[in-house]
Order: sequence, then C-alpha cells, then structure tokens
Amino acid sequence: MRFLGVLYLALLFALALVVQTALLPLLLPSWALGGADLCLMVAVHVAVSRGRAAGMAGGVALGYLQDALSRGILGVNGGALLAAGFVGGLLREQIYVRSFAQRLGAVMGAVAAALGWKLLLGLLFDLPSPSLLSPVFPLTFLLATFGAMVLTRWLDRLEERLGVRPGAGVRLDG
Amino acid sequence: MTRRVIPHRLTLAFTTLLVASLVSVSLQVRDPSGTSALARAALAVISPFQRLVLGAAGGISSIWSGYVALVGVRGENERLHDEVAALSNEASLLREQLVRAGRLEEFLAFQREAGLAGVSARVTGESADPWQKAVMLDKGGSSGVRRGMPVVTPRGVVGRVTAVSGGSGVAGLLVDRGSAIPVLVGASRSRAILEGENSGTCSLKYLDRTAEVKVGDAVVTSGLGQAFPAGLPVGKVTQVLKQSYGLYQYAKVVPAVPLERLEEVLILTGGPWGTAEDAVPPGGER
Repeated sequence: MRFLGVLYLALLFALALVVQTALLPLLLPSWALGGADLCLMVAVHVAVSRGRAAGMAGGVALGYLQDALSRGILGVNGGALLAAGFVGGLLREQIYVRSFAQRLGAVMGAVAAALGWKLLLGLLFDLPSPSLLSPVFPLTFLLATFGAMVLTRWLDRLEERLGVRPGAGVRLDG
Repeated sequence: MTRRVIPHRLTLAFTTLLVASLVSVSLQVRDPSGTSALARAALAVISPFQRLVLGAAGGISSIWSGYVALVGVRGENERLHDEVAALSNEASLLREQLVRAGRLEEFLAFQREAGLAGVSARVTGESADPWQKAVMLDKGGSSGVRRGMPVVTPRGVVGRVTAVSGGSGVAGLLVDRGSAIPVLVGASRSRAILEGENSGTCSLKYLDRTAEVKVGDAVVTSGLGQAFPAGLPVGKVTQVLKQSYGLYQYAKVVPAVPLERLEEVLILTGGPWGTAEDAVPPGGER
C-alpha cells in the first residue's frame, strides 16, 4: 500500500514535469505561464492532502527536479516547493481541512509561501521572480491558487478511486 | 511525547532543508561549476518522455486538423470523404517535412556562408520554471555540445547552452534576465551590453550617451570575450531612453529571432566558445 502510494507520487511528479515542459507552453498564452506552475500545484496538493512530512519530502524532490530541468540553479524551486509543502501541510494539520474555505486557506498559504521564497531569492540574488510592485504578482498568485484548487479536487477523486490516498477519511470536498 | 517530538523534527528538517537550498542557490550564483549530476540525470530521464509527448501532440494536432475537422461534413460519398481526410493528413505531414527540410537547408547555407561549425537541434520543450526563459534541446554532450556554446538560427542569436546531459541540453534565451551579451549598435558601432528582461524584449546597457542611436538600428554581436562570433544579428532598437544626466543612455531591443516560435536551432560547436572558462553560469552572466 505504501509502495503503491510512493509509486503513484513518483508517476504524478514525472507527469507534472513532462506536461510543464512540453505541453503547457503549447496550450497557454505567455502571460499565463508564470502562474501556471503545475509542479507548485502538485506540491500543494500533496501537502494539503497528506500533511507536512509528505508535503516537504514531495516538495523538495519535485522542486529540485524542476530546477534541474530549468536553467540549472538548484534550490530555487527546491526551496519554494519545500516551503509550500511545509506551510500547506502545517495548515492542513492545524485546521484539519474539511470545508471549501479551509481548503482555500491552506492552498493560499502554501502558494504564498512558495512565491515568498522566490521573492526573497529575487531580492538576494537578482534571480527572476514575480515583482511585488507589478500586477504580475497578484495574477500569478490567483492563477496558481485557482489551478491548485482545481487540481487538488480532481486528484482527490482520482486517488480515492485508485485507493492510493492515506487517511481517506479526510475528504477535501468543497 | 512522540507527538511532541515529531512536529519539532519536521520543523527542524524544514529549516535545515530551506537553509541548504539557500546555500545551494548562493553557491551556484556566486561560484558556478559545470552542470550538476542531478540536472544531467533529470535531463536524460525526462527527454524521452518529452519527445513522446511532443510526438503525440503532433499526431493529435495532425489528426485534429486533417480528420476531425472534416467529420462534420457529411455527404453521400463517405469513401471519398475518408480518402480526402487521408490525403489531407499525408499532405499535412509532407508540408511539415518540407518546411523542416527548408529550415535545415537554411541552416546549412548559413553555416557555409558564415564558416561556422555546429549541430542542429530540435526544441523539445521549455524551461520547467515559468520564471526562467530557456528551451530544452534534443542534442547534448554526445553530439559535442558543451555549456556556454552559442545557440543561433540563420535569423540571429537565440542564447547559450546552460546545461547539458548525454542526449539533451538546455539553452538559456537572450531574453532571460540572467543573459548578458556584448554587442555593437547601429552604424556608429557603439559598444554596449544587451541584457534580458524576462519579457519579449532586452535592454541595452552601458551605451555611451554620446553614441548616435536611433529606433530601427540593428544590434549585432561584438565578438568580445569570445562569447559569440562577431557580427551575428541580435535584434533591433525599438526605443531609446536618454536622460539629461548620467554617463550612459539606454535602449530597448526586440530580438531578431521570434523566440516564442522556436522549432530548430543551431548550436555552434566549433571555435573557442563553450570552454570551461567561457561557460557562462546560469544567473551569473552579468
């Protein structure tokens, strides 16, 4: 059961990376690509559905792979998705996400943590990141939150059907 | 007791990993080495899947344009209908091959005229991080590609190779914020540095304020630092910003190559570029 869960997450991560690099650039306009970070959405889902430990482990693994498939600075997305996993998992454990509003809060917290890390790196090392002063930041935040909410809901149902979800008692239906 | 300890352990693990990520970023930005083992391994694993998805997307797109669009047209002669669809598919594939052959021929002519050695590569995807402007290529170390090598098309400069694995690589685009290229501007041949802005344009910096620069001026590589061969088209000036003070003037430049529609590129493998000293680190090109 545990092995199946890990295998499922590995496949989910691989699929997210392939779709992010090969399909999304074909499907989405360039202005929407900043918010369409599928890897962030998947990391948020893992955190909000499984808690801090899985969120952090999944986030850091997926983030470092994302870095490896970008321009090569390891730690940019590794740290961002780690922060998303920690905050999303923490909120999930603290508020025991049941309702739509609670889930929205947990997802928003996780997305904000990831964007916050990128902002910090942007300030420290002049790396590309959404600027707080431009409309890109709220747009990115809203798109990523919306995407994560939709993806979480969809993956919840899929995982229940596949039986790969630990703690199936906590169903995240809004 | 255990319930108390575990949350602390997680917080400790979180803090440690976050600090490790920060240190990792800071080390790579300040003291970059070659492509990391993780980057090489991830590239090697993900590339076949990307090609598969790209092939499937191409097939679906071809079926969509060649067949599904015709399904709605119902007539009495279905046989002819199917034949038309099949022929349309074939024609679409042939057109695509013709266009590709034309592009490759253009690459060869460009190589011959410019006397540059290189390998052509297909763009298989974009950067996994939406905040970085880079493309993934289907050629890597096994084809002689190394970090720092210039990536061009017959229209002009695309960027430089920033990561390489055995059979694939990543090219940072010239519009990426980490990119900086020494260039010459317009008829005055004034020197400047072209920096990416992470949007569709670049900015010209350190351009002498006495230099005569106007909208429409061509920007070409200067060849300084042996980062690129001299004289390759880079873009055109679209806006000049000269303030009443300061040593320099600034300008906006639109790239000569339509970077959002890249399908094939040429990686310049001959020449002095792409050596370890020359290799420009990601995020550290300034």
